[in-house]
Amino acid sequence: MIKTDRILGAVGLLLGGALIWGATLIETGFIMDALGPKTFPIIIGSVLVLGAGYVLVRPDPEPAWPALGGAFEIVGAIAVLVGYALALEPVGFVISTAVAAALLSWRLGSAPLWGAVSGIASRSASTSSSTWFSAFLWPEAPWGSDPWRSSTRSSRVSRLR
Amino acid sequence: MSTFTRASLAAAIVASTVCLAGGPTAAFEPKNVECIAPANPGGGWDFTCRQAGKALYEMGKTPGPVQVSNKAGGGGAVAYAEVVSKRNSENNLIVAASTATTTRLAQGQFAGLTADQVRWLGALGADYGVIGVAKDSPYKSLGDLMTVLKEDPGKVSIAGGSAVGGWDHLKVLIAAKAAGIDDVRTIKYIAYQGGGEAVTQLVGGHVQAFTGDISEALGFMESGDLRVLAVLAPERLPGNLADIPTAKEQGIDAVGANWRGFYGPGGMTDEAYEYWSQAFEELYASDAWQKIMADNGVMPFGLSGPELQSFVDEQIIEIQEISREIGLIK
Amino acid sequence: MEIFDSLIQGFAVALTFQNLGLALLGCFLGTIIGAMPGLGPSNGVAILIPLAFSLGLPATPALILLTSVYYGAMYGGRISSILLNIPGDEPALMTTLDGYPMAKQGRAGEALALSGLASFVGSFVATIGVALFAPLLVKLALLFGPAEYFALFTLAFATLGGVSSKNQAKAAMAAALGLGIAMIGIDGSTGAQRFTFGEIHLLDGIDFLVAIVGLFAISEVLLFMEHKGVDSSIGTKLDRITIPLATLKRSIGAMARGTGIGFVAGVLPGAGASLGSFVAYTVEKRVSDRDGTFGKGDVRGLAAPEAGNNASAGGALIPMLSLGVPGSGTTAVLLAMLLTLNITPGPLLFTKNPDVVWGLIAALFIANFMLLLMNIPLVGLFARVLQVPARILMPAVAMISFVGIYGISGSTFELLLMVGFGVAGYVLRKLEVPLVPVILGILLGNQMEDNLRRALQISNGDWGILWASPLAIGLWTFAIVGFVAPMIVGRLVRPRVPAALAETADPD
Repeated sequence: MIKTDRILGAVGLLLGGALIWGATLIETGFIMDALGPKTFPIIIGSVLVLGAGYVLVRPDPEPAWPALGGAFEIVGAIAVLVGYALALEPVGFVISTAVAAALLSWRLGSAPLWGAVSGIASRSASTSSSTWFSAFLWPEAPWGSDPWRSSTRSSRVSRLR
Repeated sequence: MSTFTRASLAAAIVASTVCLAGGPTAAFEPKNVECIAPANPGGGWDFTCRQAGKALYEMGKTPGPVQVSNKAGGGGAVAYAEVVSKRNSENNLIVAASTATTTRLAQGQFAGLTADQVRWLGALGADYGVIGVAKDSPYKSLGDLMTVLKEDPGKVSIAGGSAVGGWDHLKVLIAAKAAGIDDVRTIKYIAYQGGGEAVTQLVGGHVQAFTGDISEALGFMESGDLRVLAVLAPERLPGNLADIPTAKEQGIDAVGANWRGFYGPGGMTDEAYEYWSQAFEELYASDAWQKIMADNGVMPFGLSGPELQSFVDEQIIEIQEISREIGLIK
Repeated sequence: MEIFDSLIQGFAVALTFQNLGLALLGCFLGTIIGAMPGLGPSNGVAILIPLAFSLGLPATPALILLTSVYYGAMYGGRISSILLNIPGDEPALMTTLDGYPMAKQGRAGEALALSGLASFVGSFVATIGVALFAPLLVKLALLFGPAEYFALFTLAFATLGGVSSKNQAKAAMAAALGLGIAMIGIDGSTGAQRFTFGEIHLLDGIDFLVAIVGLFAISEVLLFMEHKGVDSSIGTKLDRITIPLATLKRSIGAMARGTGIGFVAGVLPGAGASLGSFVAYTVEKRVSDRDGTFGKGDVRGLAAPEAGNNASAGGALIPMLSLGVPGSGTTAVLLAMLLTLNITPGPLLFTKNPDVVWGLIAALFIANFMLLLMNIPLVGLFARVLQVPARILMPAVAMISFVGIYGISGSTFELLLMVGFGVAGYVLRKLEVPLVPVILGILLGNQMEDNLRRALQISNGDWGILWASPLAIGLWTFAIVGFVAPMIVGRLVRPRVPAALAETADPD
């Protein structure tokens, strides 16, 4: 069986090659500095090729890769995370988070029902902090839904009067 | 109780704006106003949003504090694209802009978007360009510097806070052209992350000249580390900046004004557009704003609504011409 | 001494009931913000600026609040690094290397307490340094031109080999990978688009926070899905939450060195805070790691970067205050704050606004003591996080990562990118490719390139400028020695390595 380090080395070679090749394709205007935008990526690409070449020739001992079941778990978890990322905007924070947390929690050993409960629990736990952060971080959030914002605003108003 | 207070205050503000603006154009009522600063906190756009937002609220032009959000990316491209593609019909959205915005628009660096896809609301001041050298520099006037640039351009490195082709770079080129240098491409411009970094490199002796805005040069000018050779303004600046000679009086007819202001979404209703143009006009005229300008070295430059619109159009044509000449665009 | 007069006046400004309350609030919020993945000191300060405004605070109290948040976040960053191997932000990166192994050995309490103390020492000494040496150190910062910066960054990468990996080739690959990722986006000097594939979200490059959170937090979640909590810190029994005297003795030298290095690194604009903790760790490893215990839970490997990280936070204030040039993302935000309050930092700030400067320095001292008092008793509480079952903790980590990244970017694209980094991080960790060089590459790549290009532009293409000044020659010498020495030493020490590996038990 091929050692995964050899695959890593091959991928590194390809990436380094792509970096160098891509750098030569960079479009430049008439104005240029002495070095230009191509040289540095080419240097980096060369370092990558050298490092990857060494790994390809002299691979380390094979790490313990998960068995088929474990691999399946990982692919599932990645799917959940991708779905969560895609759903966050259209579906909204509350629902997408509850579902994603429940699924992850279930796969980490909670019973299905427990998964749902802990999903909601972790959601509400993070809501208490997220209300906080949304106040500043998510200005798009409607003001009315946010107790913190309204309280600062009313204190401001009362001082103005 | 707080609900009641807020409601009554909001009502009072709405009533007062109706009185101020008068007529049917006042039908627009601002609500949950957001100001996008298309850069990280700390830059000029962020400053514009925060200061103007604060002043608008204090004048009662918005019912609550203006929420500032930072959408950095591509020198304003990310924010511009978002406004055009996703938030085109919003009435309660203003976005900070400056000559840097028009420069990039002119050079087609906003992924092909153009200046007529948004509505230009108001300008609230300008920062004039300066060209300076370190205190121990042999160059005593802008003419000295230009002579060297003409005869031996490899000798002088000029540091500025914008990218190559950006506004700080263009200012030097505009001055060089005015000084009769034909091939401005030979001028060595060193791009730094910001005006402050560029001045520091000048003071440290790593470069020979600095191009930037007057506000960036102020502190080092007062401490004596930086000698400003010329300000790129039509006439001398007011107050204690009156000592700085203009480029014009040194026989080099170059002006570089970096205006600061706002645009809004292109699909904004006419009522909202009227409201914001009016609001920025009043804000510009207010004592509070004039004080903010004076404190920060911002110079008079007030345009709103259609006036700003036509100014932007002209500026873009001008920048396109010089960019084409130096080969930045084809 | 006039400095002490000024400082006493500063304390007079800072020691009011209201200001102490604000400092307490800031320290508390900062610690929490720092502990969240993706939310570091700069976001912490940025999101609290509106709070300072809506409270209508004048200049000094506002500064006190925000600097408390700043220092608090520097303290807080270590918590998730130690407990879960997830650095909250880039200065806390190096803390994971020895902090997390300690937590795995059941020494989470000790690690938290020690790092809290190291943080205190680092920032306390740095604050004194700001008060005493600001004018002197500004001159040092001015010595750094493009060539010197390039040499400095090369030094950082050259000393990297072997710090976090057994295989130098993999470390080089990782660094090149990070640097390559940094190349994505609009080229700052010419405006040319590089590796953006026409995607508007890539125009400005990839935010290193997305990379950090993905590579560490998300990959941690994936690792958990695989081994379901075996061989992790979660569920380990806690022993003591105090620092044994022997540990303290052992780490005092590391703290001192870390503080000195971190402080000086912080003074350099641009190189700033992240390089501080990094160089502190690599130097400490070179100086003290005789038995190969670094990276396996050595207290010195924890104390040095933690002291360095907090000292550099203090040092970074110097260029911000006296040159108006921020040395880090956070000081950029503090700078914005000052400007909004109509205070223009620059060479004359110390003479023009002494009340602000000394009030600020006094505020730093206060925040520091408050953080120490607050952090030590809370160690037990923080460490209890490890008693939360993984099936709840890991989903929560994923959620907080999503909240943090969505909060700073507001885009789905960045979330997907973060998950992508998570998958890559999982694979790289499995293959023992170190992640620290990747992050460092992303963090420093653009500055390294910019400075190389500036140098060559100034010299009209003559590469000789890179070693034209004594400072640059010195930096290159260190870089070369740092790169070559471990290879030679490694060859000599190699026969001993298996023995060192065998005794993975507590080095104490």
